[in-house]
Amino acid sequence: MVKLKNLIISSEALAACAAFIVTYVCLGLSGIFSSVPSSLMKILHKPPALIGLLFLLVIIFVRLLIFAKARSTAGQNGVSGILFYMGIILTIIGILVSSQMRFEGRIYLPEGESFSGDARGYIEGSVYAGKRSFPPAMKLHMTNISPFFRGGRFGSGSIASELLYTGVGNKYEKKMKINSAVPVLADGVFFRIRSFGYAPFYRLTDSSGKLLDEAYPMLRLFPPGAEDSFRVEKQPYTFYMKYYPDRAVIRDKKIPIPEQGKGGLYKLRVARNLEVVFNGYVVPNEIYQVDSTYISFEDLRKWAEIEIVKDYGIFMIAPGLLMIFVSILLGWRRKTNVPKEVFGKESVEENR
Amino acid sequence: MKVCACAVILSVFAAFITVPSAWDNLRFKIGNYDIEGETALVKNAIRQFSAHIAGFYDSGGAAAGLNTIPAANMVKRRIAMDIRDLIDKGKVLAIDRDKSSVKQILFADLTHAVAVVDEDWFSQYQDAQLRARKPLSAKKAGFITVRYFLKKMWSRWIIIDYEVYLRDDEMMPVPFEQFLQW
Repeated sequence: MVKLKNLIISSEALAACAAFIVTYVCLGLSGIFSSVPSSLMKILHKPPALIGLLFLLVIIFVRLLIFAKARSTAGQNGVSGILFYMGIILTIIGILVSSQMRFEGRIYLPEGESFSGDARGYIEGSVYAGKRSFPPAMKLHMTNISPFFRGGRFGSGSIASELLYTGVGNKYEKKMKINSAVPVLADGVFFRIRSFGYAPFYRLTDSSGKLLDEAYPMLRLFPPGAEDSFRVEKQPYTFYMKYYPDRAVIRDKKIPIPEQGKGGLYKLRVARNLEVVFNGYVVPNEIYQVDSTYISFEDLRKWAEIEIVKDYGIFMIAPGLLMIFVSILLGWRRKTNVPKEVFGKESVEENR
Repeated sequence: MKVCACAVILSVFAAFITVPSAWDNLRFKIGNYDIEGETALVKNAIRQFSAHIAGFYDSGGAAAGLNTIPAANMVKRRIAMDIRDLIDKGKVLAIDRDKSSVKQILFADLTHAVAVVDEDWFSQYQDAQLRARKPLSAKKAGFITVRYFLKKMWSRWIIIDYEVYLRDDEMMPVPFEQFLQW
């Protein structure tokens, strides 16, 4: 029993545990064993990291008890030390809670449309859920999306949008502004815009005017100059599109830019398997012949891809990390407040 | 110190066994794989695809030809749909690849590759019955750049999608995150 206690409180056990977790996290972040590097949270949620964290939790807890007992017998308060240990314990518990309770998913939400909170409404493959997690109960209605373009080759931009958020059990409805820069918190759920695009409404007809297809394909056409494509069921065409809300930003001037109309303009290239059958700028609401079909773009909607994260662990991890930070600051302040001579005397005495 | 070293080794082992295809990914990341051999296989897959697609169009979509095309079912379906559409209109498309040069092959991992190829094609619509005796259009040259997305399945590279550009068109960056999920 004494041996086990000595092993637990030994610095070696602590260092070994920390080395295990740090190595595991670094390998995960580097992506050396995987095709794509994982995120920090997903690495920490894997069984080896959780086992390491559990060991670390036990070691830290025992050390905290010993530390607190030693301080009380010496008549010292040791606030920074206790705060440091408590911070680590809270952070580890937060990660353990997060591994079980984290729900993460993404949705596409066009302007004017709603999301009911149903698990089936999330983008396929985007959901990451712990064993005891469930999707947040809420409703969202997208009222407005505003893209801001900053320029550059393929450009960088930021997105802001306004949502109508309906909380659990339809108890209240509130306006919420979210953006692509930082996550916004509402009812314990984090919202962030991950991508943005346009959904142009197309109408495809044959030469007799018979409707072949019409839809709003959600395309990643932001920032201006970005190209995306869509295909139409039972048609051999692939439609590659770009959208310029302002004609002044068009750089590709090899093809003449139409004079008619004002405002937005599409660049359309249509391939029929390995043959390009149309290449040019397209004015909204005009009909264009593409091979043996006719296409027109009559409406345009904006859409945003919203990341929704519900993770109670974060509410422990954040204060835990804050406590560690404060304890380091307190320890550093205490050290710098001690007169240098005292250190000098102590060190001289130690050397003797 | 020894305990720490053991912990690090144990951690590396744990990271290795908990990731699928860790050995293949490690070999790819440290460059310990036959890149020249894989490049040759990718080029061969593209060459086969072009050759078979031409023959498939020319034959008016003979079902036996479908199996020989090194492509995913979605790609094959799209080609078959195009040929059926032409047959319904009483036409066949005679296509012939004149030149092709591989500009770039990029491996995203050991099983995903992207190839950019300049291709020159000649195409002509012909009557489905009378073929070359009754051309329905003039012979047209098409100078295109194709970006092929390939995946290694059952030890062979197959085309899972492709994008068609006009020569010297600006290409968008490869959507790796999406591509690696295919």
